[in-house]
Amino acid sequence: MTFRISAIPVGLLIAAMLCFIYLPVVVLILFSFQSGDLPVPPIDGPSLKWYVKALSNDRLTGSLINSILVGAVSSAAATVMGFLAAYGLFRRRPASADAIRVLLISPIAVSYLIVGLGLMIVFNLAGIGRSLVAVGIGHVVINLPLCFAIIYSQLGDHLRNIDNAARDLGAGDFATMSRIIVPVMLPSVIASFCLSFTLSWDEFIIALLLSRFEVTLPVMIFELMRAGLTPEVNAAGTIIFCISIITAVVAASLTILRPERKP
Amino acid sequence: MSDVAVELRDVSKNYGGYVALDRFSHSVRKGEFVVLLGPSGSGKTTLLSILGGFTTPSTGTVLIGDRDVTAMLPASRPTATVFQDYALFPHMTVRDNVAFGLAMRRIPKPHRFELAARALAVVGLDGFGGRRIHQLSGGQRQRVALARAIVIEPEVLLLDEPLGALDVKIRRQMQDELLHLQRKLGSTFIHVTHDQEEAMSIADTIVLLNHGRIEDVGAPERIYQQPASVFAASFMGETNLFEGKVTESRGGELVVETPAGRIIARGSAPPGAKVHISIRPENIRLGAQTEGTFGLGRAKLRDVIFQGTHRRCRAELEGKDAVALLLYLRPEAGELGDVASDLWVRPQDIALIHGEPA
Repeated sequence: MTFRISAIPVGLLIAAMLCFIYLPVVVLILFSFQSGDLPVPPIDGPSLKWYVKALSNDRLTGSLINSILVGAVSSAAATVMGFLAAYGLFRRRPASADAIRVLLISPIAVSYLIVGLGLMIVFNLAGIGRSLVAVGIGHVVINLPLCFAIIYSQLGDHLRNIDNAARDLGAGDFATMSRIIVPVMLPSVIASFCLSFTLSWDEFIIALLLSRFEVTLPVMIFELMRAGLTPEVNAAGTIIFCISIITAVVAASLTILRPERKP
Repeated sequence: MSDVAVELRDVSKNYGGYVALDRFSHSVRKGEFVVLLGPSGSGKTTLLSILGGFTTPSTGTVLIGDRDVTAMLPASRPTATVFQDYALFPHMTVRDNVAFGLAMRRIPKPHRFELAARALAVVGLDGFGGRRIHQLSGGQRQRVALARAIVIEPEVLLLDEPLGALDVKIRRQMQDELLHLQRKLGSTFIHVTHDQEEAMSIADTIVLLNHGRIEDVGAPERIYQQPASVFAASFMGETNLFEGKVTESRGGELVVETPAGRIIARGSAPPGAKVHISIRPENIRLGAQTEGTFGLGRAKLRDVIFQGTHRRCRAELEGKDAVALLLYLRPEAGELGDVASDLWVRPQDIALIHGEPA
């Protein structure tokens, strides 16, 4: 009798795959509720004491606020710049539009390590010290191509006449953008902000290379781990994970999961 | 003030090597309903886009009401466009859509809502102001687009295949309404379509375009009955076209030798000139010939298809090379079959088309 892959129940395959993807996260979350001192089995019973410890750790909460700040400001900047680039390219349609698009999107393929090292050298030459501002600029660099790509992909041909109609009726550049294009494009604008925020939120290498005294949450967790693995790190990790999931879900619900609405 | 609403002088548009519009010149009277008619790629949409200010011509001058607008932005032009896909603002209510142009003109809110309501009433959408765009049918969206354009009182209204997406019944109805609206407003309408029936039912003047050039300009009836070119003859509807050669010219009448025999046509041309003869299928008659008409000879009828208002028939002329003819016969025209019948036409229904410049 020959073995056939199709003989394996589909449900079992899916379960195995989901297990593979989610098991590490589940373990992390599980041991954040550990009441013992080490995030290893056996679980000594559920407890929130590591959450209390994590949230009363001033360095940890300080870095959490830093992360939110860096994420929000850099994502806002990346979204605005990405939108302007996308809309400009959409409207002007220069002969070199394809080349410009490729140039703007390809940095997505460059590793964060390279971007971080490059920025470190440039900031050094420019006399900009390692700081949260530097980290923020770094995050704009990595997120701008993404924001551009998301927004540009949604600027469909149906918007061309809508744009023309606004101008035909007397709207200038700013009025057309603020009253027509941005409101119509709002779902993808918010989605690219959220996605950008998620990436900034748990970005580690650039944040490590470009920050000094004030650090973001992933860098702080890295430092905590050097002191030894405790369920406090799991608790902080769980908090990061939850915030990432929430923003990712918002982003997805505004783009991929959005029901098709015919114009 | 002259009564010229729009004038185009030697307007051309090239896209790379492709010529979309080739030295186009034409002027439109105030209050005229002009239809730009042609197949896709004929340049009609490019022309409308140049008038609206969305496309800059490669060469030439565009004047609207005596002003040179060639380099003017759409916002500053006394035109408004109704787009093919309506281009309504999906995030706004019907009222806000219609009032947008007024808001851009800084007209205070209460007044602009009043004007918007009035424009909606004109297009038959009284009370629709609070609706959302996605709640409307295609025909209703079309009306909103129309209201949004007329509310700013443009001197020239540009309509880019506005009825293309509607089904036949609503399209007919909208054609009538457009005509009434244009008479009521008294403004100039320039309407683009590829549908010759639509063009004939609404136009004062049809500008027939092909390959970026004018094939024919004139009143619908004239273009239909006496087309200026072979293209015009066949684009305006089915026809019987014969290539021929003038053999004799006498006092406003020509004798033309064609594959369908010798045909007498009205017009003037030197003997030896190459011409075409066009006879519309509904103008070929059957049975007892009346005086002063022209007999085409005897023919056998084949392939009779009932089409409601007429029977569409293929016929073959007897003798010669069995030349094929297309006829629209009245349903009551009676006994059709293998029996050959006499066919005839009235002289005024024989259109002479001068030779195509090669």
